[in-house]
Amino acid sequence: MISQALEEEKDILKKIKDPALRDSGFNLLVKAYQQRLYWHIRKMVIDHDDADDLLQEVFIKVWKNIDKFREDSNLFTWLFKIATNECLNFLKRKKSRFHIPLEGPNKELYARLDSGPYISGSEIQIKLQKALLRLPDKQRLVFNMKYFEDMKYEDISKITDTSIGSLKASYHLAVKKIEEYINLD
Amino acid sequence: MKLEDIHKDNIFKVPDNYFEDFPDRLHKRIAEKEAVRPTPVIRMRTLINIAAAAVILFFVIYGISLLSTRSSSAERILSNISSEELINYLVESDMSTDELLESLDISIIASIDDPLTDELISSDPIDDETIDDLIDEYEIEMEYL
Repeated sequence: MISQALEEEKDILKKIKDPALRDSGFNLLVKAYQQRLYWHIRKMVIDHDDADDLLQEVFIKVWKNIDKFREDSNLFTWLFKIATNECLNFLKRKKSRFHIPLEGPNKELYARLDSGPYISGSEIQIKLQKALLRLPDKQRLVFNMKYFEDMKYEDISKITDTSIGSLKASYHLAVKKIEEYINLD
Repeated sequence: MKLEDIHKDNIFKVPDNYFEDFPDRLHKRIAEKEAVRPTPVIRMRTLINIAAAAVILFFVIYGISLLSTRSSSAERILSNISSEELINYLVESDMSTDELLESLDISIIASIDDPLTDELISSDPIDDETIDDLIDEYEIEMEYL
């Protein structure tokens, strides 16, 4: 399964490096990764329109910088790294625009969970998302990748440039905080 | 309640056909961006004009100071004027870059046999893509379109 994914990556990159096949190669890349990147971004920014904008920005950056991509690194990790940086920068800009303390809960995103379009879940699932919004953005990101996206710590470590030990500690602490919050009332 | 008691369903939804339509919308946006690529270069016009004026000013002063050793009375007089005074005169004279270019005798520059001048003339200009990348990186907002 892993070797099949690697073969697909190699095939995509080979096409992108060939000027005659560059467009179709990039199209394959978009189709192969759009869903995973979208859900990664969406869980962080909550709103569909914001996620859509950011996903486009991520792929535009990929299009512009694909020649700089080193083939000895992993395409999947590289794409997730770009998406992660875009998300964190977006959230930082948003907090500063709405004068929200960087470390505090993002109330603007809370409201979206209650009334935003394209969101539908049980009460406890919404409460879980609200608990996540109380975490610092980087910890929320780690939690999402481990819990929802079922990613390996090794991959998360490459994407976030954080040691596996720190990631495990961060995840463990996140679970504790979330359970405390959902058991309130 | 423990975390594992909560169903791990995805509560976030997307509009119908979102993923089917996304590659086409992205392709259009990239095409639009590439179509307006020359714009940042036009926005850079002011900076380029300033840089060009500085280079021309350098050549004018440098050329005059070299030629001042030759036996022309006008040049001898000019050679007695300090560079600062010449710069002040040119700055206060409100001459545009185009006027400076017109008034500059390129043969003066060509006649200067000096390694520094050769280096200035032959140095590679910044290409458009590098300028675009710099603008993107530093999110430079120019007032001129």
